[in-house]
Amino acid sequence: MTTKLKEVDVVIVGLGWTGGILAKELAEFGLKVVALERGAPRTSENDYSLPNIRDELRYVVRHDLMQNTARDTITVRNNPTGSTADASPRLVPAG
Amino acid sequence: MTKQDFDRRDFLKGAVIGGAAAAGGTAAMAPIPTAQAQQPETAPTPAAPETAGYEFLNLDEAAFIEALVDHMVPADEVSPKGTDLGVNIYIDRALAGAWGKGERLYMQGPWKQGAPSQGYQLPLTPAQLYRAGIAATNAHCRKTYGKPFDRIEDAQREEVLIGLSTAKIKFENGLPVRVFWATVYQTVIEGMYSDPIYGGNRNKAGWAIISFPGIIAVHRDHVEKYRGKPFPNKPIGIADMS
Repeated sequence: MTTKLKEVDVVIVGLGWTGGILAKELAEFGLKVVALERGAPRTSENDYSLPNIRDELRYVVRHDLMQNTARDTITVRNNPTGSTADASPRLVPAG
Repeated sequence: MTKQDFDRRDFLKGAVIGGAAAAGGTAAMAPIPTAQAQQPETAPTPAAPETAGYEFLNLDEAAFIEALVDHMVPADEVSPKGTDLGVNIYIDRALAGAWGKGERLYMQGPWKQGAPSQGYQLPLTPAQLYRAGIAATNAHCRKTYGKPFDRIEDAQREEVLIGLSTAKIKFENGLPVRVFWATVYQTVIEGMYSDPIYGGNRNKAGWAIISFPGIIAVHRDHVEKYRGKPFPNKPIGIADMS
């Protein structure tokens, strides 16, 4: 079932870094803005504070703040022309 | 562990009480002889940390991992040995947890063998990869030296690990050696340097190797205070600030 929302001036898809700046600037300019964000609601106080935010394993290695690719993976075109026999660190399932 | 007279693994497999842990079922176990039954009291056991005990690794796998991390991270002037750093516990918890189950890994296929630059392409979760890799490595060890990895000599273990890292060893079950080795190497490093809440880097002894100060975010106040003086090696972990 589709939900029909009230019409606004601007719809922004994704309220990340770029979307957030756009939303702020356009709203301050006076436009009615709705942003659609599929990710979890996060706040600085709750989700980006010490000590847990400095957990390098969780955020740098496991990419815990990034899109969970198990649900919806990233698709890119990648046709390597040559192959190398050398092991690459990206052979590891980063999760 | 191979230097002890008492092999904990054999004891657990043979003991009536420990039968469920070893077999995971109701298999009848032969009662252990009296002499062996008395050995647990005299076996040297270092003070076990609260995190001792495995959630994921079975007995053979635990013996393999302990031998592996103690060989890759030996006790010397640089660091304690791997099991004293808790690298084995880190690996066990990681495999038992969300990462091991591949909860953030795209596993829908299609499955093709990719080039190394295309990253991980196997239809195995990290836990499955580890299980298969340990079994395949032990199969290689049995074939080459007559014993599994944890019972061969140091020089032979060195041969095995070099063989895995160069992919000179080929697994009979077809598992790509480079993928298994890259994952093992990565998790050992994680076990040494991740925050101690994950089971490794015990007492921050891993961070001490590289004088890493831990999770302190800002050193602004330290610039004046420690100008010309050595920066104290007192790392701070997540538990210290919780």
